[in-house]
Amino acid sequence: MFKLNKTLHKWLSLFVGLQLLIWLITGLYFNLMDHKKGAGNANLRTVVHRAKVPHTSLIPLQSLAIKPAQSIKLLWILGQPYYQIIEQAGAHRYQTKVVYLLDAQTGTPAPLNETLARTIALKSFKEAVNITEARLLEPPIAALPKEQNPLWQVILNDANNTHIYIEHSSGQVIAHVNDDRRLRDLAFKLHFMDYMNTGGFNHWLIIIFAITTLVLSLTGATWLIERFKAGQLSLIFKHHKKSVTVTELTSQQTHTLALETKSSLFDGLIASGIQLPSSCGGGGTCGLCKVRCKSVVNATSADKARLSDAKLEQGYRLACEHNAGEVTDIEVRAKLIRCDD
Amino acid sequence: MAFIGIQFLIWSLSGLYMVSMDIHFIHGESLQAQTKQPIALAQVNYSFSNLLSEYPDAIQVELTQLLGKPIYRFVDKNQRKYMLNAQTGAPLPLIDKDRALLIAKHNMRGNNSIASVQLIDDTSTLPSELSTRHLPVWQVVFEHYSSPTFYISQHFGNIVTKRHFFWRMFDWMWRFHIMDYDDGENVANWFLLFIALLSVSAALLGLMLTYQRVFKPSSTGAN
Repeated sequence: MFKLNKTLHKWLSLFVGLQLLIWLITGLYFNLMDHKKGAGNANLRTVVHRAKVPHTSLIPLQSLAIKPAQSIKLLWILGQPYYQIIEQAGAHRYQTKVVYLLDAQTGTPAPLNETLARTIALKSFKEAVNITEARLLEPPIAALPKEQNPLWQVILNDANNTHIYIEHSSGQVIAHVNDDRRLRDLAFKLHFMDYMNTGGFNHWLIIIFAITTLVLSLTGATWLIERFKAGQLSLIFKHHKKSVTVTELTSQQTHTLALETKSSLFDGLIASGIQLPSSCGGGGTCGLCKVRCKSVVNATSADKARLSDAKLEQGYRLACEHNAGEVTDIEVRAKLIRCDD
Repeated sequence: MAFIGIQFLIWSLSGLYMVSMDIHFIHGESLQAQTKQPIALAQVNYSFSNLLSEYPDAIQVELTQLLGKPIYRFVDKNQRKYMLNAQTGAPLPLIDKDRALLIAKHNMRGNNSIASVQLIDDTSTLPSELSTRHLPVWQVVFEHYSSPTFYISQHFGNIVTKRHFFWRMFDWMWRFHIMDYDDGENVANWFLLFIALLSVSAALLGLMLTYQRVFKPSSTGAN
């Protein structure tokens, strides 16, 4: 059971490892970033649309042929009054809607034209700047994946490559998308694994990765608890040492070493200059760090999984699975020695 | 390093909750009935022009409806809220308890009965899930295990926000995810920075181990 736990941990780490690192690094970026700049709002300012218009000049709604509407707003765009007819709209602004503008003085349809879009864009920008191009985009809009309605895109020739998006049905500035914002959006895309450009985080890819990561964390936690129970992780390090006789077979040298009773034999030997072979770093999964104990030491599940019955019978155990406190005299074959007692 | 494991567990649990629950459901959009009747324009005897002559400073003027009757909503330059009867132009009184209950029932998709209703009009009784700009509001809680709650503006009679168990849970998950345990609003907290830095190194070390174990298996190991 515990072996399965470790195997699972290994393969899950391979599956989610890179994404886990991406989550952590982008998370760190969100922690450190300048949120106003990241939203693209460094140069954004409010556009004043309201102006005094003689109220008598507004055309009565009853004189217009208006299709059934959920609501009608009186809007000002650059000083001119408009009726905004909302036939159908969702809970969020970006959702598909049926909304159009009428000139509130003449009653004629007055879709937001390029001149207005360009003027609003310039007024919404703090600095004096020139426009390279303006065009009306239909969704999907690459920079704003959630958007489901047409927007004007006004491209500025500033140093930060700003594109200003303005809602066709209201003249409202939706976003200043500049290089700062593009970096933030990339970080969000990576964090949300939104590689299909849905603009959100409720999709199957990330749900599968989240489940896998949860299992990875759980197997890791179980492993830690197991190590804690085995006395290899203690909350308070009390320094108890014990002397152990260690015979190194390659060099045929015997040392008497003072080892920490509460840390694993594997770690204790490293601290004393004897490095045993290992590829799992003392996790009990590679089976490389075997030592021969001359006294009786109970075999753990990892010992049984990695060592043959014959080896177990001869007293072989994994150094990472036992504490110095359990042994008095051992034989090892080291990978590296820097030991001078 | 071992303690980082706890935060990894918290991140994966809270992350899983947030990605697997549909965000529109979390925001209570499924609680509210979406069938909206068109405004009865024939009844609108008080025009936008009448409104502007009486309230020259009006902004955000909207002709809409409340419980089937056409109304105007707008604010003045001091953000004071007004609601008028669109048939007569008469200012409408603040929403009382009975009207609040009617509005709540009218907007609720299900047939749940009301568990509680109370007026929240000052910051001392303000629940943390509600912004002060919405005050004063009626809080209407429905009978259901997820405690669906509508907050209804006393000035405008509209539902300013909704909550239910799953949204409140989401907010807690968010707090755990960004490790901001006081108000859950600040991603730029030093605690997260510290743990995230440690975690990046832990993950890198873990990946090295994975690389060692998976791509460089040693044949001299077992037995």
